[in-house]
Amino acid sequence: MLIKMIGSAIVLFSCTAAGIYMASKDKYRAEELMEMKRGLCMLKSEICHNSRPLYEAMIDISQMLEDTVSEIFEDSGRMLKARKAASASEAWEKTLKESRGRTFFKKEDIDAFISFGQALGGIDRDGQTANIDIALEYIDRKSDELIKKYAKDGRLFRSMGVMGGILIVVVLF
Amino acid sequence: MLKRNVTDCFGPRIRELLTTYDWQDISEIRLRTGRPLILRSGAKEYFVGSGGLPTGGIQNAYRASQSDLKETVNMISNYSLYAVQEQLKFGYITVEGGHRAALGGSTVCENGKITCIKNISSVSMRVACERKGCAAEAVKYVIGEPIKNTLIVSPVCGGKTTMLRDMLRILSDGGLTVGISDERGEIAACYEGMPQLDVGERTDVLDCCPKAEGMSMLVRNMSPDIAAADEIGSKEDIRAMREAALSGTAVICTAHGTGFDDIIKRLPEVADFFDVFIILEGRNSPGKIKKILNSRGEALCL
Repeated sequence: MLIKMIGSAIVLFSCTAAGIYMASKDKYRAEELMEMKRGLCMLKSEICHNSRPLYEAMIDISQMLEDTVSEIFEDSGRMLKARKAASASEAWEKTLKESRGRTFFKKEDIDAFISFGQALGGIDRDGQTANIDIALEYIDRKSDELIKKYAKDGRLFRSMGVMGGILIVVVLF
Repeated sequence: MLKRNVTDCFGPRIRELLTTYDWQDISEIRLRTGRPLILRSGAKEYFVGSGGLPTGGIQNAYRASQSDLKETVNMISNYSLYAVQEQLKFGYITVEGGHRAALGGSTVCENGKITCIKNISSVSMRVACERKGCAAEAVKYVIGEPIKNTLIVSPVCGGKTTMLRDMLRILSDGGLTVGISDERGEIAACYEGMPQLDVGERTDVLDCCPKAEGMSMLVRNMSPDIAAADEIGSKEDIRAMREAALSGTAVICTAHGTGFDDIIKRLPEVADFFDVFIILEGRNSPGKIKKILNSRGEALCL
């Protein structure tokens, strides 16, 4: 009986946790998108006003950011500094793909950032700014969606987690 | 061996080729799409085989591909072409170490002015060389009471800038304050504002600053004993040099030219305020002094 009780507690607990995780995934993704937005805004000002080389700007920016986004900036900056990539877009794409497992970004986010990277390091400063603006717009649109979605689905997922747990316990008991 | 900051300016394939063999005294590296990779040392020319070793025949030389050029341009600009946009208008980029990469391709014009170069198809890398003591002889004719206004004249690749740099180093270490208006970043080769080459202990550098404006800024703000600039040529430059010279600061400059008559024909005003003209031999024996003349064209030595 005791083992049954412990088992049900574990089932209940893990289902609740899964529900909370499912609910928070969108929240974490939105937070990471905001972090990326901060990074890109800083990059924009480094490019437009300070005219600094990408690798210097990226490494500096990475120190002001957090978590995986900071790593993305730092890794691409370091790769460029070591001259290991043929172009800036190659380094950016490679780091983004490598970081895939460690972020909450979805494929569409990564794709949007990769296509942003295609024009990175080009000749025209206005073009660089416009390119960053497009990426920023994407982030704004997505995070709006995510915030709305979280408000709507968050509670649903959490309660579904708890309910699901209870259901399994009841069925198995 | 080629310096690290020279080879770093090329794409991975070319970098590998250049580091395989122990090249000595290379002054120029030329890369052109579909054409052989050529290294020059003074008047001598070397071809690089696809194994990275020197090869005698042009037919065995490694031919650069379009992607080699693209990668090289990326490396030269530190993957950030926007940061060198201003320099690109003049067709060259100064890289870490003071080396100069000149670029050829199709230029883009706007309102009659060149705004950038696209489809870059040739890169000519001038390796900055520092030869301490090369101006020891010439500097004797410059030192005096007051310091003589000096113009170093030589054809391209004649060692003008190298001589100017060494002259400034000797004068600066000797106790004089020197100000350099380094428009093309070749004299002091500043990287992040710090001179990479030895220009002396009492030297201030205005990096990437238009010569004429830089000159008056230096004279007004830094109160140098000597003001220096590289490759003067335009009316504006001459006016600024004259102003500096008349304000009591000694001026040392370089200019393109084959000899005294040539320079006087092109820039007649220079005879008014330059006291000493140092004429160099040219490409075949870089740094070698041909003549040292006064402003009337009379030989002071040699």
